[in-house]
Amino acid sequence: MVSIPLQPNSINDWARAFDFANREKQWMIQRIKHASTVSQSQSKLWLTEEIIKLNLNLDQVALLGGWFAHIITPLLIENARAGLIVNFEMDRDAKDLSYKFNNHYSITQRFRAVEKNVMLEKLNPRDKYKFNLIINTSCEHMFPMSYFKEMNKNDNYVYALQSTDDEQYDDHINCVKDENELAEQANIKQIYFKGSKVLENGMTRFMVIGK
Amino acid sequence: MNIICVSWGNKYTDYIPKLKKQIQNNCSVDYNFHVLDDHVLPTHWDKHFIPDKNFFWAYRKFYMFNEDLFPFMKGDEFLYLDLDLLIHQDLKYFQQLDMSKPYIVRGWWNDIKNCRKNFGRIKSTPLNSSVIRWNRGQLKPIYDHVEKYKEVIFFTYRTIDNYLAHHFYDVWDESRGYFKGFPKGDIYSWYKGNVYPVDMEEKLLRPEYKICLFNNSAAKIDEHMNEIEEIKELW
Repeated sequence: MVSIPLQPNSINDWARAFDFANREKQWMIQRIKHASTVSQSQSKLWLTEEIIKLNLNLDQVALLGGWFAHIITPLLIENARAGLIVNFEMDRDAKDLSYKFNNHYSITQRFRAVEKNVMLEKLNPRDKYKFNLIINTSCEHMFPMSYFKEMNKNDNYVYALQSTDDEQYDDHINCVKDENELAEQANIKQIYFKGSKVLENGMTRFMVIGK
Repeated sequence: MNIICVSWGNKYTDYIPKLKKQIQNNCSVDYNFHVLDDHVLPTHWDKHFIPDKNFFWAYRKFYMFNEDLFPFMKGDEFLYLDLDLLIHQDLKYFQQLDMSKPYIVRGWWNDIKNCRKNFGRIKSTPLNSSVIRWNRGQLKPIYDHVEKYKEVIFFTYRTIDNYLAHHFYDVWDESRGYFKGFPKGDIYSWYKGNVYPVDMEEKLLRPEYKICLFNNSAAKIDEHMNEIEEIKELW
């Protein structure tokens, strides 16, 4: 079973990130709390467990709308031996804070963050990165992923996607009824994994990994 | 100067003569008034509008950013006005602005920190497209952007103002936006107040300002301007 690695450097980074948000970006405190719930952790742990089972190549990983990326980054680097994680996030505050939360990974060139709306701009227009895995754990907030795939055609990309059928939040603009619809929306033809999981908050999350 | 309003359907058609009269009474420079209604508005984005979602519902306003679609609009200066507003002062002011950038209403009644907090959730825009001032061609990039990404945009953005805040403004550094906001003291809101947090009294007329806005679709207020006692003699 995978657990969230509490490395001394991560504890230090997290404490400094909270302190920074408290001093400089108080309006983000509530958002950090929402990103740090038991359910948020459960969904990232589930993702990491399945990725490890599949023994995927994680040399370079893209996170789409990764928010603060504070749970998934240590999980993938310490447990799944990811080489580099790049967080593409359109919210500048979240992007900046993701650097703070992952400061020591950033210093050691294992974490980067880029301000970008991934549905309206190409992910990697100058082929700076050689991504193996594209992770989007917030598909319910975005246009169907088939559009992204078409815009960023690349045979090397494996996708790990999560979504939900929980329509109670007004920013859930693209809920799906199950993992099959998620795969269909993303035009995932080779499915390595698909499944669902009920989280601590009662929300059902669906996950598909494939290409 | 071209002064434009946009009207689709028939919900606000009785507002048009009211606006026209207000402009006659409050504009000391030469102007041409254009009503862009269903007879002249294009329809090529209609198929991207999803009625069940009702996102991006005011998209027809964006057609005017491509002036070539309306060849009867001559000249280079454009002032767009929503139908549901009250003009207090001479519109000449808007013609005389420095036009190094186009202008849009910066809703000063919004707490910009709240706009930053909700940026990722595509909520709480600081912009309000009830009044827009531009010169020919300045807003064509917006039309082109919507045209290029219409499928995603109509699916994603609840309002055109949310969209503009995301792509043609900078809520973290407001001096860097594609638009300039009209300065404090120009435009206020009947339902939301004037300047956060110091002057937020609602339903207060401020006749020393240029324009008062009456839209409040976000709060689902659907009050006809005729029903507002305080403005009956002014409107």
